Amino acid sequence: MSSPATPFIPLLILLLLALAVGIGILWVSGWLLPRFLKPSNPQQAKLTPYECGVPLFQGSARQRYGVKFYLVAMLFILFDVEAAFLLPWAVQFKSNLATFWVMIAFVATLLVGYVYVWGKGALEWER
Amino acid sequence: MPSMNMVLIFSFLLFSLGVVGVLIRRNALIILMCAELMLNAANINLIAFARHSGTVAGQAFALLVMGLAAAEVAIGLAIVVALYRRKNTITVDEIHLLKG
Amino acid sequence: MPFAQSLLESLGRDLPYLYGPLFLVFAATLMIWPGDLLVGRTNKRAWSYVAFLVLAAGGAMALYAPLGQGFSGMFRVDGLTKGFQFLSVLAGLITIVLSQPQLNALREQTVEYYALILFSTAGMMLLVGATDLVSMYFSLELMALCIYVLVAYLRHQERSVEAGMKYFMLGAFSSGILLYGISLLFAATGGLTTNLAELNEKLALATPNHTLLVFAGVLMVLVGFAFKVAAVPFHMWSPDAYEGAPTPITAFMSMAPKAAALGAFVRVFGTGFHGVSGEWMLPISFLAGASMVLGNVAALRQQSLKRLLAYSSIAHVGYMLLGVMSADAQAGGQAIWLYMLTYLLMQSGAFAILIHLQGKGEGERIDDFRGLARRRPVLAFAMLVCLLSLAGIPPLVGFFSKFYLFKLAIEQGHITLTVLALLTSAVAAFYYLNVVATMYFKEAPEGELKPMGSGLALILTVTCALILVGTLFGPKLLDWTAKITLG
Repeated sequence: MSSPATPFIPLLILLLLALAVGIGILWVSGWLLPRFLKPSNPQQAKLTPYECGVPLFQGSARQRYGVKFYLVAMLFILFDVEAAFLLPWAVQFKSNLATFWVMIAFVATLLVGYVYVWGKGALEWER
Repeated sequence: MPSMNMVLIFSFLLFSLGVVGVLIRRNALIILMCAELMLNAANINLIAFARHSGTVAGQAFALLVMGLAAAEVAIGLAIVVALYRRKNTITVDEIHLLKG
Repeated sequence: MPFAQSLLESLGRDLPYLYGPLFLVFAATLMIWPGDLLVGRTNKRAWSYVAFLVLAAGGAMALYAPLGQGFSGMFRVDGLTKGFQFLSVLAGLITIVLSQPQLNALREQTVEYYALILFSTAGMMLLVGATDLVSMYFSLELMALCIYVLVAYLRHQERSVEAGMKYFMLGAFSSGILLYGISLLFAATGGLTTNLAELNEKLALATPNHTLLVFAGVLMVLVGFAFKVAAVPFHMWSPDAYEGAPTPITAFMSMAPKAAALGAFVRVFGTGFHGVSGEWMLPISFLAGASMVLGNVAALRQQSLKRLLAYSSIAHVGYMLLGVMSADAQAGGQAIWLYMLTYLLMQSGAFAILIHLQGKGEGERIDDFRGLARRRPVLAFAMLVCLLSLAGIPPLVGFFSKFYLFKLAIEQGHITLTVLALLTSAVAAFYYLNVVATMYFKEAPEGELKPMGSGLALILTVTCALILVGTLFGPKLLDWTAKITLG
C-alpha cells in the first residue's frame, strides 16, 4: 500500500483525464461534429499556417518591419512589466487590505496611462 | 565563497558584452538592446547577493530595475521611430547633422 | 495584521517629506488625463499657467516639509535638500516662462510638454533628498527619462530628434554603468545594504579581497554621475544635445538637472563614499581639471551661442566639482548651492535674450548679436551683466560664488586645481568678452527687432536685478547660504 509512488497516483489520474479530455475535444470538434455541420468547400487559403486572412509572408525575415509594429511593441512592454510587479504581491497576499489598496493605486496609475494611450489613438492600427 | 566570485565574473562578462555592443554596433536598436544587457548584468549581481545575504531588498531593487528598463526601452523606441520617420534610417553613422 | 498596520503607520509618518514631489506627479498625471480633455484643442496655452501654478505650489510644499528622515532611511529632508529642491523648482518655473515664445510661434503647445517638465522636476526633488543608492538611482532616471523626451520634443525638426537620440543613447549607457557600479557596491557589502550611511561604515571595513570591488563600484558610480553632469571626458553628448534641443529645454538642461545631479553627487560622495575617499579623489580631480580646461578651450572657437553656453557649462561643472571634492560635505554643498544659484540666474538671463533674438528657433549665432548695443541698449546691457557675471569678473555676483568655491578648495588643500581653475577662468573671460565686443563694437545688420514679450522681459528684469543686488551683498552671501541650507 505504502509504495513511494502512492502520493502521485492522483496526479497520474489527472494526467490521464487531461489527456482523455484533450483527445476527446479534438475528436469531437475535428471529426464528429464536422461530419454533420461542415459545408464542404475546400480552399487553398485554408491550408496556410496562420488562417487569419493575412497572406503568408515568404520573403526574407531580414527586411524592415513597419514602424507601426514598434509602437505596439513599445506599449506591450510598458503594460507587460506590470505583471512582474503584480506577481510577488500576489504570492505574498494574505487578505491584507493595506497592500491591496496600494496595489489598486498602482494599477489605477496604469489605467490612467492606458486611457491616455487609447485616447491618443495609439491603439488604432490604420491611421 | 567561490560561487559568488563566479556570479561576479559572469555578470562582468555580460556587462562587458553590453558595453562593447554599445560602442561598436551601428544599429540604434541593437545599441538599445546592449544597454539593456548592461542593466541585466547589474540585476544578476543584485539578485545573487540578495540571495547570498538572505535579504529581499536586493531582489526588490532588481524588480524595480526591470520596470525601469521597460520604461527606458519604450522611450528609446519612441525616439528611434521618430528618427526613422524623419530620416529613413536608424544607423548611427548616418546621424551627423550635429557634430560633437 | 501587524504588517499592514505598520505599513500604514510608516506611510502616514513619512509621507509629509514627499508632499512636494508627490503633488507634482499627481497634478501632472491629472493634467494629462482627464485634464487635457476639458481644455479642448484650441487653448492649450492655458496649460502653461496651470503648470506654473502647480510647480510653484509643489515647490512651496517642499519648502515647508518637515525636517527629518523617512522611508527606512531612503529619503532625507534637510537644509541642503530644500536648497537644491528650490533650485530645481526655480529652474522649472523659469523654463515654463521661457518656453512661451517658441512654443507659440511653432504651434507646439501641448499638455505633455508641461507634464514632462513637472515629472522631471519631481524626479530632481526626490534625487536631492535620496540617501539610498536605490532611491537615488530611480529618481535620477525619472529625471533623465523625461528630459530625453523633452530634447526630442520638436519631432518635426530633424536636429531635435537627433539630439534626443544621441542624448538618450549615451544616457542609457551611463545609467547602465551607474547601476552596475551600484550593484558592485551592494556586492561588496555582502548584499546587505545600499543605504549611504551604512555603506560608508561597511565600505571602510571592507576586507582586502573586496577592495577591487569597492574601487570598481565607486569608479563606475563616478562615471555615471560624470555623464549626468557632463564632466570631461564624459561630456560628448552635451554640446549636441544642447544645440539640437528646443532652446528653452537647453536652458532647462543646463540648470535644473545639473543642480539636482550635483546635489546628489555631493551627498553620495560626501556621505556615502566618505570613508573611501582615497579611491575617488584622484579620478574626480582629473575630471574637474579636464572639464575646466577642455570646456573653456573648446568654448573659444564656437560660432553658435548655444554651443558656447554648453561648453562653458562643462567648465562651470568643473569648478563645482571642486566643491564635491571637499572633505566637509556640508561646506561643499553650500558652496555648490551658492554657485548653482548664481549660475542659474545668469544663465536664465542669457537664455531669455537668446530666445528673444532667435524668434522661431533658428539663428543662434554669435553674429546675430552684432550691434545689439545700438539697436537695443537696455537688452545689451542686461546681456553684459549676465555674461560678465558668468565670467566671474568682480564685483559681480558670479565672482563671489567662484571666490567661495575656490576658497573652500584651497582650505581643503587642492592648490594645483585651484590655480588651474583661476587660469581657465581667465580664458573664460576671453570668450564671454568676445560676445560683449560683438554686441558693442560691430555694425548692426539691417531690419527691425520686434519688442520683447512680457514673460521674457520679466525673467530678464528679475535675474538682472537679483545679480546686481547680489553684487551689493556679495560678502554676506555665504553666511546667508549657510543659514538657508542649515534649515
